[in-house]
Amino acid sequence: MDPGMVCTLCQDPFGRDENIINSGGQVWHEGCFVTEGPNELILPSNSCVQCFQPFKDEEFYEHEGRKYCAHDFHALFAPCCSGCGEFVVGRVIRAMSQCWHPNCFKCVSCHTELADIGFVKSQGRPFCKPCNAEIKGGSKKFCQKCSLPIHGEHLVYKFQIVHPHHFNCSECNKQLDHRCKEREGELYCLRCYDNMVSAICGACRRPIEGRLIHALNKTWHPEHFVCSHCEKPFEGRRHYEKKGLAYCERDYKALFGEVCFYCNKPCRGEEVTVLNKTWCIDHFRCSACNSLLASPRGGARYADMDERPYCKKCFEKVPVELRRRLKKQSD
Amino acid sequence: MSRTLRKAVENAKQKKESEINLVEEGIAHLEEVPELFILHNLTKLCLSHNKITELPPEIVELRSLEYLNLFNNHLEDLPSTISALPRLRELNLALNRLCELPRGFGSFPALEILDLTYNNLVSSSFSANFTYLGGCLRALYMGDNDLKHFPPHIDKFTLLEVLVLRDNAIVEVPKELGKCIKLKTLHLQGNQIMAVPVEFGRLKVFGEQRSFRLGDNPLLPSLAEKVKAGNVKIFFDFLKTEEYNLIYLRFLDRHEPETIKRDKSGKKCRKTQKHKVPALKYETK
Repeated sequence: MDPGMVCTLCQDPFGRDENIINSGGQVWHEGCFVTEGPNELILPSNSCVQCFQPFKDEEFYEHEGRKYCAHDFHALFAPCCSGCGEFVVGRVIRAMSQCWHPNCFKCVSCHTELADIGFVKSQGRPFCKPCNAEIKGGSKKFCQKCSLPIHGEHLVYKFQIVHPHHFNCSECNKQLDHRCKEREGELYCLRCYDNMVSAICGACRRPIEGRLIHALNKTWHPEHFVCSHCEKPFEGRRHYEKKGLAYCERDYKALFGEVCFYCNKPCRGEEVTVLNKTWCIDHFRCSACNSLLASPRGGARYADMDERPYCKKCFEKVPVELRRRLKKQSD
Repeated sequence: MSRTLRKAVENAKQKKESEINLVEEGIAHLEEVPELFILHNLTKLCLSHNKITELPPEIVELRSLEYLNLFNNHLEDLPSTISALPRLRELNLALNRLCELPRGFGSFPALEILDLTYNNLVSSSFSANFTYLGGCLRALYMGDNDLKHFPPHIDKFTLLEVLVLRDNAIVEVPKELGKCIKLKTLHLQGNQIMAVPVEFGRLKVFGEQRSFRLGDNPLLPSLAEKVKAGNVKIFFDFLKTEEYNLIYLRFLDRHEPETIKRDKSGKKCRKTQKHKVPALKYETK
């Protein structure tokens, strides 16, 4: 033990068999080291009276003769911002019996900082002067549920103007937007609403509950959406439209006959009819190199061998002997 | 040029493309780029105007393939696996050097358009199950081969819309052809046909979007006259008459065979390495 060591409080040396308290690099007599109770005043002068920890970098706050570390001083005495809940250090805005950071004290409508431009209190909330004027003038709508102004589309529900986002669909629980619909006092998203009410079968004119089919700009019971010719339901198979009527593939082929030679399906979109056959415009290709032969504006250029189309380039690679024979036959 | 092929295969692999088009690139050996056969999503493969002599049996690995075009190559053989391609709808083997079709060639489950024009196929080249194609085939092009007979059991090809047998050596038209009622296009010009069966009258190969050719055949005079006139409907109406029935019966009973001499030795597809193509003889009884 260092014989020159003295107690931090009374500055007296220690006895030979005396207990020494060592804390934070400093030493005390057992009787001199008091941590709580009325003896707090005799704590070493460089510790916080609240947490008894020495000050970091000698930095402390003094309040009514007592010294506090920065954290405890803020916790005990610093004002709390009503906007963000954090301590306010530096400039404190006192307004509406509360404290604020200068940049937390904003107009609830347009969010401009109000510290230097003044504010108007309305319904317990701060507004800037222009916004207040709009509200008083009635040009800005207010949500009757949260009292905040409504930017964008509003919803009228039970005779009150409200934000749509306060409500969820009664069916799928999805948050609603202004396009939702009311039915028997409940709000529904469009999708659920359509599924519940607006679907009327195009064939039997009765509402559709459960599965429905959208086709020909109408909705149908799955069992009522049938081929106009054979009257069999499509049951998920592809249908083909002609003059507002739907046909199954077989009947379409039989009735109208415009079936693409390559894909063997009724032609969709533009078609090319040459060489005693019909093709979808995308399927009218050179039989050798698979390049497209027809342009969408018409004007297909092709050579003919056995009534199959070839581009000029490929046809020139056909043996001369064969081309000569083909020419002779066509003459 | 396997480099071009390798590049295209890598490109298709990276970009997950479903089509490869390599026309006139001088490709001779597909087996040099085995990566081609792991492109399970490939739906279209167009390799026309190349120098391919052999198709590797791995072709069957391209299980999504719907369209295979080998127009104008040097193919002499086909692997028997080719007919297991489950989705193949169009197979173009025109302008090759095929002398026969592999075993089981008829087992394609979805083949609709088959082009075998300008090869060295003879009547015995058909595989035993070729008839099975009748369940799916819509168009069969076999012009410019050396067939002496129609494909076997032609009546089983009930979906057939197009049948081209131009420039073969066919002598006899089977009466079963009358059962191919969907037939719209029938080309039999440039053969050795003298008469057509009475059942032929049932076919609807005249009218809009239909075509029928029978020119350049040693036809009986009464038929030749109608064909020359060019009105297909009058020709078919004639086939249904009692007059033609008698002519046809008399023809079957006893006819002097007639042939038109043709020299096909100049065909490019005769240059085969493996097979010897016998000079075609027209039999006379």
